[in-house]
Amino acid sequence: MSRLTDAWATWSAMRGDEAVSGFRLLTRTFLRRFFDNEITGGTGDLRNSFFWMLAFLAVPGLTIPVFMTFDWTGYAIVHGPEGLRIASRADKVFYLGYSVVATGLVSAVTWGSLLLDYRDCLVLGTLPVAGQRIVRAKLLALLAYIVIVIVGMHALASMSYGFFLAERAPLTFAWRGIVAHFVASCAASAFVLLTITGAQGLALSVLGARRFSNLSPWMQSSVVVLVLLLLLALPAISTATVDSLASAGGQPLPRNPHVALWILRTPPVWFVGLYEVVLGTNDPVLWRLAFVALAALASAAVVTATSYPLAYRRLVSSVMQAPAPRARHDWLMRAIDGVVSHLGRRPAIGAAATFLALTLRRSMPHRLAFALALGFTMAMVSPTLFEWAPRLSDLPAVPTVELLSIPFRLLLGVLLGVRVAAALPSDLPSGWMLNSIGISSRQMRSGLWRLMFLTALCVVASVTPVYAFLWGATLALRHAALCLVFAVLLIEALLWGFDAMPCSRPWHPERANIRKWWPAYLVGFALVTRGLPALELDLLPVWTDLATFAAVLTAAALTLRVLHYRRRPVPEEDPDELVHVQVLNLD
Amino acid sequence: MLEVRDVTKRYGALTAVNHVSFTVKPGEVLGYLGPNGSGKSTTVKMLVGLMPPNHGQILFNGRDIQDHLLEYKASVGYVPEEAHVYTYLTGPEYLRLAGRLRGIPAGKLETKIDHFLRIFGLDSDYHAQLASFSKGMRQKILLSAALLHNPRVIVLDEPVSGLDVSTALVLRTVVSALAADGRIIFYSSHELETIEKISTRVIILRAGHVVADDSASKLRELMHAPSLEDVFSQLAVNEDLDQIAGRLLEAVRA
Repeated sequence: MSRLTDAWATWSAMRGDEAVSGFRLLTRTFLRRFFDNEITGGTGDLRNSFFWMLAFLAVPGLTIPVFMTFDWTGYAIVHGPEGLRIASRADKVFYLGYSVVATGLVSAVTWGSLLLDYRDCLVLGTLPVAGQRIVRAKLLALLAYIVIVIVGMHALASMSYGFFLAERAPLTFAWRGIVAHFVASCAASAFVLLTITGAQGLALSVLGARRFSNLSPWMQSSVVVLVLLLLLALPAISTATVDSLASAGGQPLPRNPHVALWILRTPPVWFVGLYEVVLGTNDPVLWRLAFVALAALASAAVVTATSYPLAYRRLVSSVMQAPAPRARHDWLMRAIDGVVSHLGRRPAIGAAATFLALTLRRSMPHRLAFALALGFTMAMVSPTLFEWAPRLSDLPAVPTVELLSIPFRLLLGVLLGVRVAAALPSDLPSGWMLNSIGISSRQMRSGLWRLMFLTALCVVASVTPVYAFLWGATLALRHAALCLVFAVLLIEALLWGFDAMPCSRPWHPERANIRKWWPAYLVGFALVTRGLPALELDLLPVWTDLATFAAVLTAAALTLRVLHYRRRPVPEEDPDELVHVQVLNLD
Repeated sequence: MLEVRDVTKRYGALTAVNHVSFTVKPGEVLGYLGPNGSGKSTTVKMLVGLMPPNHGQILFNGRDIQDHLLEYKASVGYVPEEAHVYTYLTGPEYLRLAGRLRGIPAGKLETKIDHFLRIFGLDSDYHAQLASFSKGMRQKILLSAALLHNPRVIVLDEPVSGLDVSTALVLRTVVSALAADGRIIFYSSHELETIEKISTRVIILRAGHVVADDSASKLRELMHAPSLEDVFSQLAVNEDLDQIAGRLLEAVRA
């Protein structure tokens, strides 16, 4: 990539067109920034891993049609090519939904690079380059980035879908299928990227740089949560596509149809309309959906194009007026700091907890990791919420496994998020400070333990009033107590082998040994989400039974802690500290 | 007393520090000089306990620091050459982190942080993240973090780098005063003038070896040199500096 752009710039310079080559150089620099953002860290390996991620995202689109070929061929033999075309809309929606999810995640990873930022204003503001030129170069780079992402993701998948879905149809239909798939999937991905960029630009233009910097992490986390929710809803959307489209068109339906008209308001179904229109159809419902898709895409493009110059202007004026970006010293951070700094009698324990809380709040990779965990949590909880939300008045007056499992799922997702964030290094070269201070690794672990427990306490406290409203205070408090005991056990399990300052060590995901232990993780997940609430349902009415069970869980947590310290005696000197020393590169 | 006894540090085939020995007594300011790559910073990293030597010992009050590393680190204040800091933290947050990790009680810590920020003129940047700080401002934060706990050993590696003239002058006075209070001060720098003025003793390192160890005045006398800069040039620099300068000018004018 960079060789190509280097060659492009060199060629421009050789032509002697300095103004043009300067513009291209600027565009190239902006383009590189999409791959050298805070999360990829600007290292060659991670930049390569971005392209690996694109390749990874492209693989399902390439392989799904291969796996579906028997089903599609059989369907084409029985119902003919038109029957297959209608039935395959479910698979097309699934792919388009997957494109939306994948592009959404890519956008979340490159979040900080989608707009011009404070650094651009500082660096470029000193050069004799007009603001308009900078905005144009950035927009061009964004366009190039979108093309790279969407073509990389969808080119091979389009060939695969177009070819395999043309079973028993003429060759021209296969060509049209390839074009239709490419157009629809690229449009869906472009829609996501432009919507996210446009939303950022609009927010920055309206709110100004300072307020936007406060809002931006929430927006980024919301994007992650939304795309993970869409991922969760995708099977339901896909299953309901064919019957819902038929129902909307007034066609007769088979017995027990899967109709869910709300899916017509979701982007994957809009773009399946575009898909079918390019493929050739007279169906007014599909034409209407195609129109919605194009209107949405055009709106996103217009908002992006118009908000970009405004956003840049707001940014420049904020740099001139208040050059130093302020920390988000808002009520939330004050509250967190106020609580976590008093988590331990020893100041070092509070320091470890505060450091993790601040890192989670301000470091982009950590925020993203936590947002992913929140999205995962929402994905675990939302089936129950979706099931009960329309029937609030019919909520059961006695506990059910589904409702009891909600806090267990929340605890699992949120605590896992905190643990993963604590394992991610925030800024390794700055770790020299932690290593040069004589701190006890046991105290660091203790700080993390207490922050995780505080998080668990917040989760349990937020759901307990609902249970008290439903089933009375006694049952709600018993449930809350068991949840907290479970949280203690979970924290001990998650902190197994962890003896360091949070966010200060190189990341070793391989230590989770998923390849070897995945059955255990799966069983653990099933136990937490189904087994534990089912057992609790039996024990809840008799408090002595519940107390005995809680005592067993507490004993298990204590055993884990003892085994942890026996297995890994706290080292006085950390064997990893050379990593930090070497990056100082002082000599 | 801090005693470096026959210390050697190797990085693979490269010997960065080769059988170096010296002592620093309480009240002494040891100036540590050497050209780039001579092993100064490696010595510093070993002195602050960031890495162990391959050979030899570093003793603090007669005890090997590697045997009591946490205890030793608690009594050291260190300013590194590179101002690597957690840039998403504000100045007070960074100092609070360092202070709490060192076990300073909250009330005392807040008072000290306020004092340091006010003295260094950083109180107006109370809510600004370190990402927006200049090099000199970050250096002031690092100096504050190193001195917060009133350490017995102070290791300074290019501490005036990026500082404005007045702060650098203040630092000189503070270093001398802390030495007079009985602190052990190890001052590694390229600033020959500063070293000459504040050090009670000077060590010159070349290619990992100690080539001179005495007071600045004795070294001048021994080498018949008018300044420490001349002593340093004779002992540690083997290139023809005029020739290099000439070549550089040619490159500029080409």
